Amino acid sequence: MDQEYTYQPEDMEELLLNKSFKELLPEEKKFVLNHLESEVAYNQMRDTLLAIKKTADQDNLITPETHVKHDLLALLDKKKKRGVWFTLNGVWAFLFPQDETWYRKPAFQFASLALLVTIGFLGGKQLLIKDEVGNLAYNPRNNRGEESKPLVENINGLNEQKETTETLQPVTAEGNSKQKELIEKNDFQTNSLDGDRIEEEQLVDDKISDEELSLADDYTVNAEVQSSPLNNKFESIDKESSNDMLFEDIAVSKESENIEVGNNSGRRKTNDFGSDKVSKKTSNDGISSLLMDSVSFNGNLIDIDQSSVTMDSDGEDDVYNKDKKTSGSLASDNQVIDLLFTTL
Amino acid sequence: MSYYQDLADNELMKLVAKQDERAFSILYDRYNVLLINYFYKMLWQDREKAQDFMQDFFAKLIEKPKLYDPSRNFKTWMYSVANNMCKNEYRKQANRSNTSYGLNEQTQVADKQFDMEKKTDEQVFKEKLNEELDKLDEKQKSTFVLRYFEELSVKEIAKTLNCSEGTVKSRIFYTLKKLSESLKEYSPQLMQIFLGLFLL
Repeated sequence: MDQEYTYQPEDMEELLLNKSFKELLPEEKKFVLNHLESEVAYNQMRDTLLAIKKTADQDNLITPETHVKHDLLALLDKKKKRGVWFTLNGVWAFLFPQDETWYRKPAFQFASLALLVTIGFLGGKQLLIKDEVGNLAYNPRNNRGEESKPLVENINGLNEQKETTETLQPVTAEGNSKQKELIEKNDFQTNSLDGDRIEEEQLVDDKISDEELSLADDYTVNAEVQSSPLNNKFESIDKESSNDMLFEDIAVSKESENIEVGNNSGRRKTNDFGSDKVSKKTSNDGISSLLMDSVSFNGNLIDIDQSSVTMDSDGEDDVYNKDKKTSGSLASDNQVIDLLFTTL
Repeated sequence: MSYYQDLADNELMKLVAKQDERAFSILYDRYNVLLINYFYKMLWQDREKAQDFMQDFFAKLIEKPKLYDPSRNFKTWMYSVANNMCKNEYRKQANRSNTSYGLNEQTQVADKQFDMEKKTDEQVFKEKLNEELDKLDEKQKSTFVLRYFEELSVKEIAKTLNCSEGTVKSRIFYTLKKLSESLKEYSPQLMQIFLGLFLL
């Protein structure tokens, strides 16, 4: 009974082709009679279908004429040739049009453009090579000062002191000794200085900040020279001065041939001594240092290579150490060399 | 040449796209008869027209081979294109002879009735069958022709006509029922029965 429901109207073809009405199963007959009026209709339909099948099988198939295939092959060949013609003649005709003057032909225009691009490329390459050579010849030291300038400017107070330090001429050991002799010879005016110092000691207050002290310390000593003769001279000063007082710079004047103690505020005071400078600094712990670059006597320039004289307030360990060099730029070295050549 | 003979339709079509003459020749040999007879059945048994349509189809294949989708079966694609060409032709014919269609039919019927007397039963049945096929609507006709003359399976017809298999079977059943009613007088079996009774 279930098979009855598996048949659909569209499946009638199978039954028609394979079975007559008498050969149908009861359920198949029931299915057929649901869609067709009677047994006669079924048989008639079956006869028609078989006749159509027979007619279709026996039907003399028509065939196309032979020229159709030749025409189609000719069309295919034509299309193939047309493609080749387009790729060759089309490109040639585009590049070399006959109705244009030679300079308006795209081929010449493209060639000119390619030439210009090539020349431009090569020229640009040459320029690049020249720039590279220029970079190789460029001395970066020339720019060092310019580049570092803003950094130096950013340091308040420090900037001024640094410039002064850089302009100081180196002091040689010989010059240093002469300097000491000069100081001794001129009878270092300790008394007057003492008087000034006492007054200044009273004026110097505690407003000097630790930052100023540290900045001063950084720029004080490039090469510490512990000199005993000078120590002796400064010893008296240091002994009388209190530890709270700071004398950053003491400039030695060529005319007065004495050493002036720094101003009341304790800031550096620098005077020219020919082209040379001598500065003294006394820190809180009582260490005094004399900074001298070069000293000129009787027209002779003596370099002491940015040496400084440092002395303890106690006057002990006064050892002269002329070669000790803790800092100094290459530029200053060059200046030293230049000065040496000039001297020679 | 045997290499080309062994190639599938899809492979041949790829070569046709590259203007391969031998591939086209093989493809043409495989399908030219089927195609011209399909057009012949579909286009009022007009041989010249069928040949022209068949030629047009292969010309399109040459000019625009990329119209073919390689993922599809070539045979069903070919019948699908041919069916669309027939539809276009039906529309053209309908536009051309809206008023004169009836006159032509009558003339044709008269001519055929005159000729039928000289022909065998099978020939008569065949002509009557073609006549009845022409009266069917386009969908029923194409389905019936593809099923019994081009001998496509129900599945292939469904793919060709872009419809379900159930729709194809249903169309076949109702077309067959219709034809059996219109052709019952011309059925060769029935005519033989009548002839036998007449001879007795």
